[in-house]
Amino acid sequence: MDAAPTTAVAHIAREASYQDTTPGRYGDPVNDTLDVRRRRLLVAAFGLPVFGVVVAGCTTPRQAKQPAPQPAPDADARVRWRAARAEESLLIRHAATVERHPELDDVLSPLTAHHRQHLVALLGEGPLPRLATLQLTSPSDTGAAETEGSLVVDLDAVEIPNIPDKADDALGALRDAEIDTADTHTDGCLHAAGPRLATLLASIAAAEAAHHVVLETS
Amino acid sequence: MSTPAPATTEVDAIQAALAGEHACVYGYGVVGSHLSGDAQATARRALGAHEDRRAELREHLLAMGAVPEAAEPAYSLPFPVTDAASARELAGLLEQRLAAPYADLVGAATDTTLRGLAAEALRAAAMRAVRWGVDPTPLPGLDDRIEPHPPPPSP
Repeated sequence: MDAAPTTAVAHIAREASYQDTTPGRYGDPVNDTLDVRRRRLLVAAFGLPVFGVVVAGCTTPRQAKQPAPQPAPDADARVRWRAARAEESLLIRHAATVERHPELDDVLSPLTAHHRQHLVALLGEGPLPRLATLQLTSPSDTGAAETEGSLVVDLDAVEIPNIPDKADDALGALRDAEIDTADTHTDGCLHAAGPRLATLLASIAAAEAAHHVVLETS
Repeated sequence: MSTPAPATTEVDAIQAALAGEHACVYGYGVVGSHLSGDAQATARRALGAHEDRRAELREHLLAMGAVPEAAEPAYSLPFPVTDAASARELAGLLEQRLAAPYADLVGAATDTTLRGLAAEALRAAAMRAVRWGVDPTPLPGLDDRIEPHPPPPSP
């Protein structure tokens, strides 16, 4: 288990530049089933090709992995967990916003890419207790020999935020979410025991406060 | 992430942030003289914020028994500032550069008050940089200074 997170993080980092530009990337938000929609939003949010997403509860890899011992949490595990969870939620909101308002993609995609980098950096800081929605695994964990890493996602735990009908309102909601997340990270920075994590959280908070400014002027 | 020099202490990190604020205060003097109207008012507010921060850093150093570094009489500018556009560009660059010493100070601070000050200053610098027209970056203060993640600690 030692080397696993690094492998998976490297894989996600490479895939962060993945862009699916095919039309209909965001599917049909009205007629698709909830799980299909969740899965599509996760692919959009995390920039992963679809084979990287494993649906929890109906795959043997996840079942097989369950008894694996969790790493002992260190002093900062809770701070990292909260920060990674906040980034996850923000990424999903980004994807859901573009799903509802595709015309915002140009404005949002560079910012979404930043959040993927934030999440990768946070996950690289140390082992985490399982996130509610997202867990990185290595090929040896999943047996998926053709991939170097994958996401194990508990789809039922993915909450899709309500996105306002008007694009301006949707941007406003995202602006609020950016600054709320920045506040979460600033708070985490003050509670972190490790100086390296404190520095990372302060920097991520600064990036998100700057996103707030970008969205103010968009 | 940043690799602090071996001798880096909390005092060194505060002095580095103070030196950054000195340069910033000097730079905003140049910036303000080439702007007018709202932009000049924005520059003046930013200058005031940097002067306040500088005073806070000095107080911290004095409280720790250290002598705050003085400002240089003049600073060389990275490019000639001749008009409003180059003035805005300089303002953005000043803020962007200031992020790095504050990121270091977040890591070096041993008390929450100082860490909070540094985190807030980093955040404010990133926001001002974008307001002056700098493209947002993923990790202000750490961009281009990130080392590969160390292997996760053994359980």
